[in-house]
Amino acid sequence: MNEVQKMAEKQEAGMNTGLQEEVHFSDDLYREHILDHFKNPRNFGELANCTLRHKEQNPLCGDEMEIMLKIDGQQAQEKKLVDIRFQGQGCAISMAAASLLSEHIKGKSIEDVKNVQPEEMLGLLGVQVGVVRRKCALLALKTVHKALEE
Amino acid sequence: MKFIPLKNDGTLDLKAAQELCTRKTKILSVMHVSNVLGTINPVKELMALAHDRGALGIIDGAQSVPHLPVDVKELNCDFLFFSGHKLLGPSGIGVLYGKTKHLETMEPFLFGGDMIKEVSLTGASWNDVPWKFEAGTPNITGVIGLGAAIDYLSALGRDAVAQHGKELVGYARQELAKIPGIKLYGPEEGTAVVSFSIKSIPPHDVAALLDREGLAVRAGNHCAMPLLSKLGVPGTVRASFSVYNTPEDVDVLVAGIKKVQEVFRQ
Ligand SMILES: Cc1ncc(COP(=O)(O)O)c(C=O)c1O
Repeated sequence: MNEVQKMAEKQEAGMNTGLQEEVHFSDDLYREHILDHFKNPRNFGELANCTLRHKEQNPLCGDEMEIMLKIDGQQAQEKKLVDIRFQGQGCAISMAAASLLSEHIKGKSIEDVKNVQPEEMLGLLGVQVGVVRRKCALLALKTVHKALEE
Repeated sequence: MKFIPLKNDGTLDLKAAQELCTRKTKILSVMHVSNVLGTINPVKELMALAHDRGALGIIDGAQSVPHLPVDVKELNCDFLFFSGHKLLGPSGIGVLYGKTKHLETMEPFLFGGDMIKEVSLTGASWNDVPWKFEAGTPNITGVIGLGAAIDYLSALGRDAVAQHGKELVGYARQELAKIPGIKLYGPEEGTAVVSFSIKSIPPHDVAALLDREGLAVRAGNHCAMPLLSKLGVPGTVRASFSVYNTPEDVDVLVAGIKKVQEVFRQ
């Protein structure tokens, strides 16, 4: 086998693994806890007297997400997220992600909220999300981070 | 720019079109078949309306040419275009038809090989139609592939293809309508596609779960956000049919949708 053939074989093997992961993820994507958060979203609705409010869209899916944050504390290092609400419409994945994230970050310091990584968000969902739905899964986190940038 | 409004059944409001299209109108452009609703628009009448007002009539045939017999002379359109990839052909190629008298007066939009008759250091003259618009090395493989696709569809018979599409869409609408919680969009008499939504299940989740069953449907706005806004929904699920689909595929779709509802009922 020459170098080119070896490389082709390697690439093919790589592609196959990718495919298997895809199958694995779709079997799990609609697990009970995701559907539960979609049907009974936590921290859903309007938050009167919120400190920050931000809206993001995912035009591909038509997802719309508005996040309201209430922040307490004067000094930067003391600032804390005391309350959060979200509203909008979208697919089950984006809505469940927002619900899970809201529970996860409520009560945390703003520094910690800013440091929530995409992988952490995907971890909250607890399922493998394929490339196509990654945008849906991360929309809430993106909206929160954008709100805090302002 | 003015828009011909839609009636509640998804067909164009032709009375309104009569008033909207005036002597000041330059172009009346219309899609032949809606890629969301499957509506077959009365393009021949609309072309006549355009000409009556002294306007050009342009038809988007992307969804009609693959599914219906289309005769540009009979429709009397000034321009008509369609894509190769919706016609069992390759992507990256399509057809733009224009009446010779228009093409002859139009300036080229691209410069390159073959579109030129004579060149000097101080000037150039354009080649004849259609070469004037075919600058540079053409997409040769695309042309051959598209030709093969058109030959294939023609051999099946354009009328037979149209009949097949009409029957499948009719059967799909009939069977889908029986599913509790489903809402169908568009007129009964359509072709090529059926758009629907399912109560309490977002369209993208329907599509993702149908994908698990081996069913490829499209979800979302279908590049037609103003229409979806008018329908008042954040997207639909759309099943498209072609010559290779059968009534059994519709049955599999119906079974798939029931499974989706099962998953969300948990
Ligand atoms: C009615 C209609 N017109 C135009 C287009 C665009 O064609 P293309 O993707 O070849 O640019 C599409 C679909 O993509 C369509 O459905």
